[in-house]
Order: sequence, then structure tokens, then C-alpha cells
Amino acid sequence: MTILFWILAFCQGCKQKTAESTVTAPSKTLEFDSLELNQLKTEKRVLVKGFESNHRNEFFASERESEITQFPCSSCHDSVLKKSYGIDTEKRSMHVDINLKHAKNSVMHCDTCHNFNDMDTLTLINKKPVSINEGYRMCAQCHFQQANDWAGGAHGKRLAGWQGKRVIMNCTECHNPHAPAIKSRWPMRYPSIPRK
Amino acid sequence: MSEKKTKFTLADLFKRCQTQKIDTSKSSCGCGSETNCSTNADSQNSCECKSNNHGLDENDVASNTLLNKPMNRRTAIASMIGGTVAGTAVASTGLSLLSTEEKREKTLLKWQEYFKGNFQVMTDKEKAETIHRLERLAKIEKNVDVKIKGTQAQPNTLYGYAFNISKCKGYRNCVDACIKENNLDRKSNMQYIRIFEMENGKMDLESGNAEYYHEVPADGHFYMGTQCFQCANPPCVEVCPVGATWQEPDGIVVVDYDWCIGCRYCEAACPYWARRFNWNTPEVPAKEVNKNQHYLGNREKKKGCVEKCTFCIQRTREGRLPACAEACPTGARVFGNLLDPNSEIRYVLEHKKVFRLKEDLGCEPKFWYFMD
Repeated sequence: MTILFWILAFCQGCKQKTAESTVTAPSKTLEFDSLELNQLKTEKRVLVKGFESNHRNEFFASERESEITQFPCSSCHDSVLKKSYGIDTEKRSMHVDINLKHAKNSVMHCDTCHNFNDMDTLTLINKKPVSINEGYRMCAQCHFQQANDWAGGAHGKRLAGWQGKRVIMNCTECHNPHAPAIKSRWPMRYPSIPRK
Repeated sequence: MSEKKTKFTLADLFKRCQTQKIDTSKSSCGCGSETNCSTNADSQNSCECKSNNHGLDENDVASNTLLNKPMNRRTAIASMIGGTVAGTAVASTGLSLLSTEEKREKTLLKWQEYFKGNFQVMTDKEKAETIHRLERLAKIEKNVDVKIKGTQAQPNTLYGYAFNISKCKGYRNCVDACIKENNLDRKSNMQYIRIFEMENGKMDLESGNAEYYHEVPADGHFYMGTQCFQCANPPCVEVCPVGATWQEPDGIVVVDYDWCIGCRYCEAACPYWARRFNWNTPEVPAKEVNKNQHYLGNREKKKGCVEKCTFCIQRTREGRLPACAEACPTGARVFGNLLDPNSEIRYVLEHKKVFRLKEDLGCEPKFWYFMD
């Protein structure tokens, strides 16, 4: 009986291990002197289309597909998924780290964004497929004000420098699409005593 | 480098003085320039030099022919005593040959540094010389290979900054990056950036709390960062009695740390509390020194001089973002060229509601706050 218990426990451990995040968490804070890192990031880019600001100048968003550890998703999801595919964490065998806290579950479900017919792409509300690199188009459907600011330069972050090609961070580089709320944390530095 | 100047001993010079019968009383006004000043008792204090920096300009002082070549008072004294000092340093040390040599070089370099001019009036050669001296001193003193630049302003640039008060969460990542990038004093915990925690609905900076240290963001509060705003009409430059601080063509207000006399007038004049004074010799561990330096930016400072944010002049003049903007995890900081109509800063100014701090004072800061 004890042996059986141990075997079960072992299997459980394996399961936990394989269930590691396949979707990358929001990237860590950039190092302040990350010249090489930034240049690398700006090389992987996609041209952004369909914004008013494009009339001023073309600009790019950083690539996302290369950041996902186990892309393409179709290497596992080779068949069409069932519509009712679990939102409950308990019923899931994979992606247990994903806890959907974006909108009410009655409003948003996995297939609101993920294309169940082709898991390598996302789907707009009008059912048109969109590549993960163009994830900004997904967000822009509801957050149009933020998207306009992002395209213009009042929202988001530019990579590398103020000069040269404009490459900005993609939405999901800062915001976790499954749980976008920003968590509180402690400040990085203790303040020096200010003048009153 | 300038061995020529230091070869002469004091005795040599006196000898030359006697043979050439130089009338030393001519330059009694103390400005070092003979051509443009009268020796009247009344006008001694109001002596006007062509060069506004105490007769440093070599072109001004061609009449002093101490060494049969044009030389001003500053270089003359430097070369006269330089050799003597270096000699004494050697005599007073009982160390090994190598360290003695280094000590001698260090003393000499420090002496030459002491007599250098204001960066604004230096010739390109003098700039290169002082930069070489500073790099060498850093190598001798700290064994760090720093690279100091004197990069000029790029044409058609005027830097501007925008700060999103609805995005800032008070994490102070910018402060951390600033300290590391600009080699700020670790001993006194010097910081250029100050983040104020403000109650929602209140815009009065005086009621803000910059000393907060708790989990952020706090409920019912917003965060507002201040630093040097690189005013277009800077009062700190107006009050400087020695011309140690000025505005560069790209709008950055800089300080010549070696020309600063530490009177702190500028600190009092700045309405934004942006300037910092070095009460002690700044301490930066050799391992943490940022080697990418600029003469007017993040090079190592000394005790008794004033320093301030320069929009990371060593980075921005190379087309990079300031350290604070690069480190910000929330994207609250927007930096760019105000003269470029396609820049992000121009988008913010044209499309968002912006305001500036204490605008009624007329300093014209190039730092705007905006909201989503």
C-alpha cells in the first residue's frame, strides 16, 4: 500500500513538472545598461500596420513567437479543440499556471482569443485569424484608446534608443494577457532624505 | 603628454625672468590678461577680460613670453611648480620603483588637473588632454579602465521628457538605474530622481511624500517623479558666479565639476530641488563604476561640487534613452527630440493633456506631466 502511494506521488510530481508554463510570463525588467539585449530585441520585430500614426512614420513591435518556449503550439495541439475546453484549473492537466482573470468568465473564455481550429494563431472577434506576433490587434479590439496611445508613443515602451528605427514593446511583453492586473510590490530603493 | 611644460624648474624660470626683465606688476589686477585691463586702483575689481573665464583663453595672452612661447598665468604657474611637486612626491616615498613612478605620475596629473580651464573655453587639444589625464587617474587610483567622452551635441536636437502620472507606480526602478548609471555617491545615498507619493485629487507638490517606503502602489495615491527639468530659462545658470554651469545646444544644462567652487547658489536658485551637493568625496565601489562616461555627465565627481541630472548625456547623445526611461517597468517615461515632429514626445504634447510644475515661475522646464 505504501509503495503504491509513493508511486502515485512520484507520478504527480512528474505531472507538475511537465505542466510548467508554456506561455512566457511577462518579461523581466530590463537591465538598465542592456545595450546588447536591446539590439537583439530590436532585430526581432514585426512591422505594425493599421494605425493612424503610421502616416507619420512606420514603426515596429517586438516579436513574440520566438519568446514562447514551446512554440509552435500545434506540436501538442494537433487536433481541433473542444469548445468546452476547461476553464477550471482542477480539470486541466496542462497550463495549470494560467488563471484567467481578465474579464468575467461569462464574457471571456479561452476561445475568445485563441483559435481552436489552429492553436498557432489567435482569433479576432470577427473570427479572422491573427498571428501571435500581431497580438496588439487582439488588445486593440477593446482597448482602442490605449492602442492609439501605444502606436503614437504615449503608452508602452520604446526599445534601444530615441533615434533610429522605432521598435516598441508588444502588449504582452508587459501585460500578462491572462491576468493583466498589475501587482503591488516594494520599491527598489530606499529614498534619500528630501529637502522639505 | 605635457612633459615639456613640466621640465623647467623654479630656478630656471627665475633666471629667465631676470634676463628678460619682465615687469610682473603689469598683471596685478589678477585677471591674467594684460592687454585689456587698466591698472587703475578704481578699476581693479571691475577688470574686464575678453575671455569671460579669468583670462584662460590663450589667444588673449600673447604678451607673456616667459618661455618664449605664448603662455598665460595659469599654465605658467602650473609648469613652474609642477616639476617641483612631482620631485617632492618622489623624495617623500620609500616605496618600490613602480609605485613611486605611479605616485609621481599621479601627483603630476593632479597638479595639471588643478590648473586646467573651464570646459567651455578649452581647445580640442586641451579637452583631449584633460580627458586622458582623468582616465589615467582613474586607472591609477581605482584600477578601472574608464572611457570618458566629450561628445558634442547632435545638430537639430532639443531633448524633452514626458512623465505619465497615471502609469507611474512608485517602484523606484528609475532611481536604481540612475544611481548605477551616473556613478552616484553610495555613502550619502545620493539620488537625482525623487518620486512623490501624492493623494488623489491633490496637485500640491508640497503635500507630497517623497520618503515613502512601503508596498506600492498605495490605494488612493498617485506618483509623480521629479528630477532636473533642463529648463530653457534656467535660474541655476543665471546665479552661478563662475560660469561653471551652462546650457548646451541640445538643451541639457550641464556642470563643469572641476570649475564649480561649491557655493551652492544654484542649489538655492532651483525651484525644483534638482541639484545635489557633494558633502563628502563620492564613494563608488570599483566593481560598480560605470565605465561609459562623459566629461559633463557621469564621470566621477569630487567633494564640494554640485551635480545634477543631465538626461544621461553620455547615452542620449549617442541616440540611446536615459537610464531612467530604459529601466521604467511601467512605461511612464517618454523621452525624445522636441524638434522631430514624428517623435514620441511630440505625440504626447500634441495629443495628451499635459502640464508642467510651477509653470508660473517662467523657467520653461522641458519636462511635462501627462495623464492617460
